[in-house]
Amino acid sequence: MTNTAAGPLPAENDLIDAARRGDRQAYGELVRRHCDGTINVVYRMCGDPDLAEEAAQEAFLRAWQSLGRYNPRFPFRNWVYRIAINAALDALRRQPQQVDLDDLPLHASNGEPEKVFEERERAEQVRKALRKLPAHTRAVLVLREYEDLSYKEIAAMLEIPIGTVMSRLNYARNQLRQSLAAYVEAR
Amino acid sequence: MSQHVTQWIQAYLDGELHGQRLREIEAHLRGCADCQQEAASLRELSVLLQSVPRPAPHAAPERFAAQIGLRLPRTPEQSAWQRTTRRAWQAAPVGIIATWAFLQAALFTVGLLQSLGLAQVLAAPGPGYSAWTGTSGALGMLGSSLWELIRQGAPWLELGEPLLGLLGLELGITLLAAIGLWAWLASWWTLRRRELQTIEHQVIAP
Repeated sequence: MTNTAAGPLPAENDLIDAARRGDRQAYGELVRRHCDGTINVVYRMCGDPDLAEEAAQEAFLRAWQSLGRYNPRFPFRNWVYRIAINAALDALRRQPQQVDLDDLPLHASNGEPEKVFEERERAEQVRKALRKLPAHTRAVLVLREYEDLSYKEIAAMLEIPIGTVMSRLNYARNQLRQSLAAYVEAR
Repeated sequence: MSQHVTQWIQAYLDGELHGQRLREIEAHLRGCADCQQEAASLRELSVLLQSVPRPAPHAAPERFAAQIGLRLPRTPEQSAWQRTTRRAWQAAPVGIIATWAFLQAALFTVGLLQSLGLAQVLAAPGPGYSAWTGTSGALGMLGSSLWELIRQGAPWLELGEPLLGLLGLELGITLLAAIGLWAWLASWWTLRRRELQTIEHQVIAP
């Protein structure tokens, strides 16, 4: 990929072909396009912003090394997400969670102190409830709730039957409703 | 439908139902307070999950990509098929030269044996039999079979003297080998040039 300076954005398949030939700039463009979603998926998996960014970087490094095995019939984004989920699980195994509540992102950081505190507390409870879910169940929930992937896409990405996607979602949501009962009913 | 449809409500809310099933669930939800409550509870959970904001990235996408760029190994890992193809391509000139040398040796031996009298040399081992005559005999037999095959395919080779035909064949094989080597060199040069252009572009690009 040698002509990305101006004009329309290059097609993703062209970028992937160029990256497979060793074009680092083309791969950089792919990273720019997908880093936001990838960091989000990893963050929802592990609940730690620092760990999420680190694991997302690891995921993109792994993806670069595995480009020869990428199957173009599937969306590149979904393939990277799959690698990112594995990277997140590895990161969690290596580093037990110790999140400072002050590090958690907030919507209303300039609001009243009570509201800020409530929001921070709620975010922490959601994060804890997510962490309690089994990793593979959490992965399905994250892809559905935060990345809006269809059951079919999740099944293809994680190489599981659609029935398993449905049962994991059902289990995850029921568990979360129990863990977060106070918030779900109070809203 | 009188039975509750709890097991389908999540798929319904996720937009995964279509056709008859979708109509059945919609109809049931309109008249069932329990299932309506279940759906409302699931919607609330979804809203709660969405209310936790995504992390603000520490680095802008440009910076994030640049950080990864610094850590990337030089080239991506290749698939088994790509590695095999690359190795075969790298070994191609050796293969061309080895094939050329073998064919030249076989045809040279056949020419030599023809001039000496093939039957005499390939006679049963006797006092004059040695490793050299054995090896050259085997090579000559191979060359002879090859020559027979070629002669059947290209009878014009026999228009002149058989030895001249052999000489022409040797020249033809040499020419083919030279063309093969030239094509390989040309493709190597093209690939090398492309690689250099890519590296140069990556160094210059901001």
